[in-house]
Amino acid sequence: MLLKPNKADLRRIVYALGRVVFVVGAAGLLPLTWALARQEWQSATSFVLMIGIALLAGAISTLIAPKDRTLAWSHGMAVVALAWIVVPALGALPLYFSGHYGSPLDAFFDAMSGVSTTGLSVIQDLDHLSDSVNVWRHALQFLGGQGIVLAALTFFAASGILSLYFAEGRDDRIFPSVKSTARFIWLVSGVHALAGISVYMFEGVATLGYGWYRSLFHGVNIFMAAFDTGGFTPQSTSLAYYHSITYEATTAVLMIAGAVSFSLHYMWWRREKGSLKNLEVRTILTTFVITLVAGTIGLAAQGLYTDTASLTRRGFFQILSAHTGTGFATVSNSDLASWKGLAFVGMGMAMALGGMASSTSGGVKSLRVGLTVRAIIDSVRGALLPENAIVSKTYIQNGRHRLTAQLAQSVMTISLLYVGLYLVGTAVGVAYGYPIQDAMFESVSASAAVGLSVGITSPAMPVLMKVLMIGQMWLGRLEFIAAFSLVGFVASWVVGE
Amino acid sequence: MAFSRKDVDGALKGIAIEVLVLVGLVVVAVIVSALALWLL
Repeated sequence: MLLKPNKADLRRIVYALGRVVFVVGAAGLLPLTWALARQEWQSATSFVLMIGIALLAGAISTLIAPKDRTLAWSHGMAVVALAWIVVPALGALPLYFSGHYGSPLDAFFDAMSGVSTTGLSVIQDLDHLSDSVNVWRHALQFLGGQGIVLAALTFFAASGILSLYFAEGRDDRIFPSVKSTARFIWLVSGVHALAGISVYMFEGVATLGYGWYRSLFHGVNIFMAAFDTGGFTPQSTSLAYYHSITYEATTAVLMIAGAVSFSLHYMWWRREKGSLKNLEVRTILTTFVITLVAGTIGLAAQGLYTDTASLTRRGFFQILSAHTGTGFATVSNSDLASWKGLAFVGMGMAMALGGMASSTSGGVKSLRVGLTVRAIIDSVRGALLPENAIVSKTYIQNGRHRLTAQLAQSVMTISLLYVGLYLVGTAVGVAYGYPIQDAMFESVSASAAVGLSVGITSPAMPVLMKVLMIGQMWLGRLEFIAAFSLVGFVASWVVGE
Repeated sequence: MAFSRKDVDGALKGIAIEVLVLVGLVVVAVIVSALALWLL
């Protein structure tokens, strides 16, 4: 029997949701300032509208705040799942009013793509979008990569915030307190922002011949999209626009930083030894080399790039972009669509596997891949050894842990759900008449929050596919559990007693 | 959380490791590319 939530439950959820919306509205001050400085009055008006709605939501949530604001596990899951729908809906307002989207659904698609750090886009005429709205698109990626709710946690202490933290797909706490962990995440991001934007600005002025403003604009946007493994760019030709190896190298460092878990950042910052022994580090290095070798051999066999320099530059950057879940490209969509055979296998695997757990990237995640392989090896060893032999089922990940049957089952369930999500998207794409390889590429790209495209994602895409991809981005970013919990919560509200 | 000298040193070391990881991966990529073009 399902227990029907009472009014106090709903008020707790609405209160927490209102706080999150309020913080996102406050983040709108960045593009509003940008719009005022650039005298983009129409964009400024749309940001004022968005901020006004956020303030109103914050005020209403305060008015109806319950006395006991403690969030139970189910409340936390529902708050996170709802926040990841409400925030892109709010964030889509300035996008829609920019006039660059064919419908509100298209604007919501891009906003969801932004907060889920995917990077797929159905915008029209991106190259003439106002600077402030462009900054907002990238800021959505930054907010999403940091964790929308985590961002709010930093400013609002609340009982039961642990459930919110885990619901956003973060598996480990670096410090005993979630708030301290959130602050460390902001510290790492802030330091990378300072370093990354400075380097981009120097490159813009010194090597690309840009003025100070243009260097700042591109630096800020590309930093937010790179470190949070988002993949949006201010122009339609992605990173190929810059034709700069130093810009690509800086972006590659930031993509690696974004795909690294914050606990590994902590180990590096605190000079703790043993990070190379971690199962996740070994797994991601192994899978990266495997996908790189497969992709490179495939490209060489196709004869698309005939010298070592161009093969390395194109192959390496695309594979790194795919594996970190970023989605920047230095080749065109049509070029990417021509990557067949092993090159396609390498790219597809890299996108599907994704970066590290508790990082800003998506996909199955390296820790799950490593644990799945470890569980299979342990099972095979158990089958081959005598019945009374004891098989040590442990793994090293910030210390030695037991690989229990329950953990293995949980890891494999989530991994299977990702595979299922990839296949559903592929099937729908094929049903609409797209070649199976292209349909699979786009489906994996959306579900694993990558953002690379072979050309299917466009304003002309069927509405059902847009809706499906929005669902894939939402489910993939939340890693299923929070989304399923929301469904359970709604079901208990409807049919519970 | 105060931002101390130790934090600055740690941050610089962290970024240095990220750059080293990139250099290592690029070296692997160059070797793989050269071998692939030579063999195929």
